[in-house]
This record gives sequence, C-alpha cells and structure tokens, in this order.
Amino acid sequence: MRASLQALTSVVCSFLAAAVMAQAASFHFDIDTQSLSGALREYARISGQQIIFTEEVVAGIESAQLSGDFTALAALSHLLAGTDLVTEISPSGAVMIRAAPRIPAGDQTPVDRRKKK
Amino acid sequence: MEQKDSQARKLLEASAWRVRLSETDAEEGEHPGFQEWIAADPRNADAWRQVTGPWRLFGDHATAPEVIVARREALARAEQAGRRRWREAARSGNHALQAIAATVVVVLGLAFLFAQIARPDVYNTGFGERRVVSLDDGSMLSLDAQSEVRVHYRSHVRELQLVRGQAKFDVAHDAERPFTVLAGGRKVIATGTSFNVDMLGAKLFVTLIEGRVVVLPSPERRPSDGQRIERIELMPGKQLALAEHESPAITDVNVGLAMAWQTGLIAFEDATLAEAVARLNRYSENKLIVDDETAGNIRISGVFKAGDMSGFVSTITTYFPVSAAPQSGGEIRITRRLN
Repeated sequence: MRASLQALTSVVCSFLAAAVMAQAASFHFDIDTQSLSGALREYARISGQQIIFTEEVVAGIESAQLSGDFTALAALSHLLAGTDLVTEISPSGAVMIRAAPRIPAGDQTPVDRRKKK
Repeated sequence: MEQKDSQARKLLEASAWRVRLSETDAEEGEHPGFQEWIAADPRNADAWRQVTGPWRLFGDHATAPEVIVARREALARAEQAGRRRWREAARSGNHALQAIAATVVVVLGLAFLFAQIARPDVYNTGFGERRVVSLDDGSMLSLDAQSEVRVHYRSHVRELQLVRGQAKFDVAHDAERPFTVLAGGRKVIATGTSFNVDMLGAKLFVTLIEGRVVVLPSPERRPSDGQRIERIELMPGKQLALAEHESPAITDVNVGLAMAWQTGLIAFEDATLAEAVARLNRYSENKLIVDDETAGNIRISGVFKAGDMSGFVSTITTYFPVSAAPQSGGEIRITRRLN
C-alpha cells in the first residue's frame, strides 16, 4: 500500500482535485495480469469510472495483478504503478491516460522508456 | 359395401395418427401404437401414404401450433362428414372418399394460409432505451438502444430477426427447436446458449458468451451454384466480426466488457473514432457527426457512459486534437483541430 501511495502522489497527482475520484466508495477488483489496455477497461467496467487512452500509449505494458477491495483511485494507481504514464481528469470526469512528457534539455520529444517495441 | 366403409375408416384413422404424431413431435417409428396400427392391416399402410402425401407439401408449417389446431378441427369436421357420407359411399363408389380427402386438403390449405398470416412479435427501443423481454419458451431477449428484434416462434423452430441495433439472446435449451437469429445477411443458429449480435453500420458482430453457435449466410445469400456454404462456428469468449468485402475475423473478447452495454457502459479497444461515435449515437438524441476522415480515423480505447454525449465530447476534445461544432440541426460535428 505504501508503494502505491507513493505512486499515487507521483503519477496521479491531479486526482485529488477530481470530485469523481474523491468519493471513497470501494469496489471489488479481480483483474489478472494482462495487457494494461485490457486491465484498464476491466478496471473501468468494475468501478464505472470513464476512461480514455490509446493503444499506442499503453502498447507493450503489462499490468500488475489487482485483487481485493479498493477505491477507484487506489486501484488505478496500482495498475499504473511503475509506468511512465500520467493521468488527468477531463472536464466531464473521465480519466485520461497519456505518456509522460519527458523533456530532457535540448530534446522536446516525449519518450516512454517502458515500451518494449 | 363393408369394404368401402372400412377404407374410409382407414383414411380417417391415418389422419388421426398424423395429427397425433405431429403434436408429440414423435418420429413415425417411435410411437408403439402407430407401429401396431400399421402392422394390424395392410390397408393401413396405404391409407397412411395417402394421408402423408399432401401433408408433406406443408413442410415447415405442418407442425405450427395454429396449424395443429386448425387440423384437429378439420379432422373433426371430416369425421362427421365422413360418417354421414359412408352410407352414400356404399352406393356411389369411392366418390365419398375423394370428398373427404378433398375436405382435409382444403382445410389444410386454409391452415397453411393462417400460419403465413401470423405476424411475428416486434420489440424495439428508442434513443438510450434498453429493454429486457422474457419470451414464451423462457429465453431472454435484451435489446440495446435503437434496436429492433422480430420474434417468430413456431413449434419446430424459433426464428428471430435483428432488424437494427444490438441484442443479447439468452436461449432456453431446446434441442428440438433450434433458435435462429437473422441479421445483416447472416443466420446465427443456436440451441441453448447465450450470445450477442450487434449491427453497427455495415459491420456485424457476433459474440458468444457461453454454449455454441453456428453462423451461416442467410438463405437468400447462399450460393446457388453449388459452392460450399461458408459456415463459422464460434467458441465462448470469441467475437466474430463480419463486413462486406472483408474476410471474417474472430478475436478473443472480454465478455464482461462486450456485455457492459447492459449496465450502460460502452467499451472500446482501438476503435476508430467514427466507430465509437456510431455506437454512442444509439444512446443520444444529439448525434455526433464525424465526416472528417482524419478525425474519424483517430484510434480510441476506453470506457464511456452510454447517454452522456456531452461528457464524451468534452473528453475527446480535451484528449485528441479535435474540436466540436454544434450544427443547426442539433448535431455536433467533430473535426480535426487545425493548428
């Protein structure tokens, strides 16, 4: 839980502002290790949390197994822990998943290190 | 005189057997009483042939419940008429026999027409509406928004047609009565199973949740030149995608996600924005239009609430480089943002 809380602060910082996610209702998740793409959709189905991403953004990333009762926020931070993905909340409350813009000096191109291909 | 009388009686007995067998769906050889009757008198087999000949003309309709009812009435009338005419028959040859046979055939013809006139039950839904219908045999029909299903049950086959939209079919098991769904030029055949059929634009998706289904071209699309009929068998957890001029594609699906429309959630996996919009338009009176090809070809994954069209628009215009412009007709046009 500590690790995921850390991930929470570093990866999904914008969540705290989101009214949708502030609700502490927890859901029972039972998501096997699979492509992050599939895991995110399954997560959304269970929690009812709207979500948007592209296959390009999550390509090649495997999700960790998620099993137990979690709030929507905790579950999402668990699934995204260790990835370079960032989340934002759309005006209507959907979670938007993007590759973190990594901007080393002199390089404006976003790079995602975890992509396998 | 005695001979004519018994010949007429044989014919009536044969008719009675035909009704009895068609009502119980028993094969000719299965009913012990029938075998005994055939064996009891060589003339019985002749009478049987006379009675079953015209019957076969009615084919599929011969066992429809309304036909059975009509036939029983016809038989009762023929029997009465027969009894009255036997005495005459003794005098005037076998004209009476022909009269009885003619009566039976005429009434069968009426019964056939009656079966043809019987209309299917039609179930449909409007924008954002979902509907669950419990059918006579215990099967369940779940309609998504903007969908229409016609149900035509007969005694030997359960025929349905998905006219538009999407529906899930939870089929009560009945091996004697196949459950068929016509949709988009295909026929899905099941006995007891659970499956989903979705007509989205020019595409047809068949998803098998459990059991087994076979997908064939609909009868009018089958090759007449003796070519092999394309037959696709699906396993649970698989989705078949069919489109004109494309070869059929079978993929693994998360069944829970594919069926999430039943709880008002729509999931996409690498769909084009045009496909996503076509699906979400079912749930809203405010339609989205994506006629800009570069916008329509944007790939999208995610899960959205059916019916929250303004939410979807604000999400995609934030996430993708697209903008939304309300049109005079109330539609919202999505185009690639120029910058």
